[in-house]
Amino acid sequence: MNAKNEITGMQLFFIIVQTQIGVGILSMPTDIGKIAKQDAWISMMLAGITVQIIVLLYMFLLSKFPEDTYYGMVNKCFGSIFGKLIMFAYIIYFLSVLVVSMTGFYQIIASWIFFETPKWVILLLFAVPAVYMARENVVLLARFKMLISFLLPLLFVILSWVYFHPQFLYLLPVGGTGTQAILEGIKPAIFALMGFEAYLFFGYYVKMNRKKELRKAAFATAFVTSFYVFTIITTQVFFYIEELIIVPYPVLYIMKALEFTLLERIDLIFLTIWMIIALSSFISFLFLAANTLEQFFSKGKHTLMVYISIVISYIAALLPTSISSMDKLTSILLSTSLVFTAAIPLITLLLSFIRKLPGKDIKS
Amino acid sequence: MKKRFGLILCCSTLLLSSCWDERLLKEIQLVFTVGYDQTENGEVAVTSVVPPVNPDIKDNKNINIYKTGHTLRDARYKADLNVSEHLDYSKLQMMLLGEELAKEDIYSFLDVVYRNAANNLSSRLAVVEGEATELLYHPLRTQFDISQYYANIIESSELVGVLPKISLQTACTLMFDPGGDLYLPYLTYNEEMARAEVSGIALFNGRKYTGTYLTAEQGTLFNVLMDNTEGSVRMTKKYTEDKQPEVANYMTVEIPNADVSIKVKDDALLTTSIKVKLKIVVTEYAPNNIVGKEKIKKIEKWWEEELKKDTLELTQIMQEAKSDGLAIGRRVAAFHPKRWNEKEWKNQFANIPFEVDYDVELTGTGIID
Repeated sequence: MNAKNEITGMQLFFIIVQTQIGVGILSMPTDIGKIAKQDAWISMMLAGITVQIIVLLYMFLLSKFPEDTYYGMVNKCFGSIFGKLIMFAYIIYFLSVLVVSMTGFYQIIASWIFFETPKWVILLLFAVPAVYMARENVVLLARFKMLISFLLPLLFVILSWVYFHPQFLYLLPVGGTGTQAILEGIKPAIFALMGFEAYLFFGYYVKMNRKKELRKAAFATAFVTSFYVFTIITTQVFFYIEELIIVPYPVLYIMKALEFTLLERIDLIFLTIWMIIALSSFISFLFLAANTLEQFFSKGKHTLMVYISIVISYIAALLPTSISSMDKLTSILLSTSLVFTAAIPLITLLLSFIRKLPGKDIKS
Repeated sequence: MKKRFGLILCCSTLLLSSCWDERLLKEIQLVFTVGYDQTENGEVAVTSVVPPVNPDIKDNKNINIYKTGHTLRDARYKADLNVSEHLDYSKLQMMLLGEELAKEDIYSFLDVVYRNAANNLSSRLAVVEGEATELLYHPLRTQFDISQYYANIIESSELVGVLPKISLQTACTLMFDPGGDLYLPYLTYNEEMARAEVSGIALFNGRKYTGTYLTAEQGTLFNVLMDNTEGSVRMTKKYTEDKQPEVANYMTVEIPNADVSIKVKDDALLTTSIKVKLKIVVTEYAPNNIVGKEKIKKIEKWWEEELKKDTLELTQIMQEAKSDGLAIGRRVAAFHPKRWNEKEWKNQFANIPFEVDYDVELTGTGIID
């Protein structure tokens, strides 16, 4: 065990990247393409800028209260009763994120590789390694994320095969869908970027050279945005937009269609590897759920809380639900997520000014 | 502690045996080639060609299974009633579409292929003259296993530049794109040689076969216009009239490099200019003596004229068939979005004037002049 329990800015960078990129990237081009058509990449860029502004807000909060965890700040600003209520809401939020991401994982595995394998087995195989990692402390978590980051370029490398025969004309005319559609496309694009809130929670553990290191980590979202823009453009020069709309996992579909001399069906191999990335995103949320529970009950039992969170979400994910009701839950969750990632932190910041809390001065 | 760890390790191996999704080769029959036809009463006829299970059997009798059904799936399930193993289409290499079926909306027939995750999207497609079933039941004189024969002749034609490379996936993109039409290899049966033959490129209008197809030579030109000169593209034309023997009149050139630019002008009729820069290498011309600037110029000039004539003929055929294989519409949509009308496009396309311009450069004559 590392007694220090602190991370560097670079480690925070990878924690955020690995929280943002999960299975979502495989379906994200379709979700945005449905609305913004060939201008999906513009929506994604605008969403990236929006998220970057939110991250700046986080940075501001973190440097105002260098001694506190996020919940500490909330408690200070809202008072302990409201603070507890808000924490409880966060618990519900994180648990539902766990359920949704488990289900998303199951859906993709069940429709691409294992058609017959029962749900409980697939989910269990997902949950067990997640628990194993999430019960450790933040330093190990960060190291794990850095370790598996070399898998990220894999997507880039495989997709670049598309550029042997690209159809750049499918991207034209730029802006042809109109401002309205592009702006509406920002919504699903922001959802694809979800996970940036990790900055707020894990930022607490950055202690050495705090300001400089935090600034370094703020580029994580910019990195993920450019990664996503590349993915969107690649799917769009491969598929005609009307076709893209009916393909729920365009990235996998491209890989399925690619032909290599030695390998066929590279999508299956890729999916197997990509599961580690998906798992890594899940681990972050599991860690955060347990962390919130721990602070809520003000006990130092992180491991126990991890078990509790996983059991609850595992059972909830197993409950018989149809795809449409799951979609409903997902859309509710996504719409409320902005409350948790943007609204509450913003109010916290405003309150801290109004109540003139003796937080550390920004200048010093 | 060690004991406990060992126990956990042993128990966890139980989780690894995922026997729900196993597909054993001994329980399935891989189908490599399949033919689809429309029957008179509106059903789909599926002919699946399965390689012989035991390769040592010299007779090389491929098993053809013929079944009809209301949908492709239906016919496939019915076929399972006749086979000792389960038919598996995940290694499919070739899909043959009967002419009548191709004249319907072919996407409805292919939907199942795109929907099932187990299918191979890089398998080839072709339209067959007459019925696909008939072709598959014809005797074939080939040293290959018949179930792989069709995929192989398509591939070899792609290699010599007669056919553009169209897989199930690229076909799907073209079917969805209103600004470009599908084109597929056109197969016929050659009675004399008892072999199948790639006779050209079948032209589609939207998702329906128009009934017109380009000949193999026109196919080569089409490939040049589509900028597919990766394989060895060759053209042969009659250069002179009077030489003896007849062979001496012909010149064969190879095209190692083509630079095509297709531009649509924003005028009333959307005049389209096709500018092609070609590098050619003479690979066969019996009279020899291709020396001197003037002679080379003359040959270049002659090829420019000939190709221009052929290209105009090609575009006319495509316009008459209302098949926008060159994807002019995609360019209109991209560069002149205001002029783009998805529904009217095919009628507009039929009246577009083409301006063709070739720039041929003779870069080599082999190792003799």
